[in-house]
Amino acid sequence: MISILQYGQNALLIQWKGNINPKIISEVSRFNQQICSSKNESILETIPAFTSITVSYKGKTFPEMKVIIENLYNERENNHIEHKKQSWQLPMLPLHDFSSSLLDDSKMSTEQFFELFFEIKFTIGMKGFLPGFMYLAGLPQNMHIPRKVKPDLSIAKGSVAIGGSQCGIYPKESPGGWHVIGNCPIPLIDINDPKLSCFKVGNEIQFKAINKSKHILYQTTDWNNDLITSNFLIHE
Amino acid sequence: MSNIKIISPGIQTSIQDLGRFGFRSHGIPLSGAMDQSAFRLANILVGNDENEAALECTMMGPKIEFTSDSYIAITGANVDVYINEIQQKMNATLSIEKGSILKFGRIHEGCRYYIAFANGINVKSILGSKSTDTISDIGHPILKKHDTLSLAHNEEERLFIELNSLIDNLTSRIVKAYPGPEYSLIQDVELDKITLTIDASSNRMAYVLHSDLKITHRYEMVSSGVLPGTIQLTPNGQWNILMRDAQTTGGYPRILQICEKDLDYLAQRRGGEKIRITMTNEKILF
Repeated sequence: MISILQYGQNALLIQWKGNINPKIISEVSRFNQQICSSKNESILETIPAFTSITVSYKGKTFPEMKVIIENLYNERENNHIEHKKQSWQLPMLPLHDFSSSLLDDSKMSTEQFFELFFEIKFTIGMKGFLPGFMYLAGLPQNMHIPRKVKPDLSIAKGSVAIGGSQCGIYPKESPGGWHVIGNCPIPLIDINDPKLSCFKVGNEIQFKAINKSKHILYQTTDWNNDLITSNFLIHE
Repeated sequence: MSNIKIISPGIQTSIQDLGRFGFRSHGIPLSGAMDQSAFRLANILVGNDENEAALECTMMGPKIEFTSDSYIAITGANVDVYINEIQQKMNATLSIEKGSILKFGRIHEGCRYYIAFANGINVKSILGSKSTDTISDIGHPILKKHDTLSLAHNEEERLFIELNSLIDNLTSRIVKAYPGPEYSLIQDVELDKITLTIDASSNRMAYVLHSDLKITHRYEMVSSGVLPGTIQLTPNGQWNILMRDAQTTGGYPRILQICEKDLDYLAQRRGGEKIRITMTNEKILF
């Protein structure tokens, strides 16, 4: 079930009930594609997220738009077409300074934390916050870390970080309120490539530990989307 | 080829048009002129399309040398404009002769002003827009000393127009807002009694506001879409009004959504100024 809220003068918010899970991510992703391909000229663009879609529109009132969205939702295909699920293995240098003492689960050591972390198969739940920033779903409850009350002024490019129940990779240096646990030296977006990014919502991501010298090598490599695909796509 | 040379860049002078649309699902912000009504007026005064690229100046503008004849217009914040040391009108078509120097003096009211050039600025359009996105390294960087920008050349004569903006975004007024998706967090607060002070760190991405009534919370939410004009409430009680270069998603509760015409008004507010917000009377139907 969805609820539809007015969000200012020219936008609305479609919300799904429930927390982040692969079923809702896939439903959001499918409904977003349906909205975008509906070719309704009042719909300008959408921002799909884990459990919501923000729709910006023009030339219609909120009640009119609400009916349009409700009709699309009722028409949606119920036969679940399986999305082609690509899997990526991305390199990550674990942060030396990270301490598992930030976790609610005080019994977990830092070594155990990383051991478990590199086992996780994340799902790209949405993009946003910064161009190319990927929000990754699938972090187990005992590895959650609440966001910082006061955001840091600078988090380094490539930082792999945890904010609450979410994990993400910073595509560029930025202020942020998440706790950094490592660094991924692969660029996430290329604004000069019309494809923009090879990582898509719904794709699977697993991190693989690398050492400092490999990290420097990757950091100084001149990556493009084809090169990234040939090196890190492990399952088509 | 006609060029302009940047003798001094000003505090934050950037190239803007109306914005970069259609890529927010990749996390690419809208960008575009902060005061869109002043920006449009500047283009109209030099006979351009409303979306033509122009310069956005913040507080202290650039000093510019022209290498050919041109037409320009200055709109937005109330600032002293000089061409070759002779004071000029704002909100009017100005004729520029080759070799002229444009500079700015004291700023009397407001924060941002626009310089539009007849036929616009020749810079690469990225993802459909020439706007500089100050947080994402997209578009031409913020102007620096000795930069040269190429102007689209045109021999065509321009009409001389003088036109005051129909919208006054300089005089103090109360900002109107809709309830945001997480409005329930502040539904018991008497919004009309709150005074908010704009922090000096405020920029094209967000205005940081300090409230005289501290409202802290421990509300954790799943990250979701945000828009220019969204007011987020951080756990320590800071109010962030997201502006044109804002991120596309965020994880702080969205308590209010500023009416669009008041975003242009906010673009003209400076650090240290106080603002007040009231709920709009415009009908809201859930």
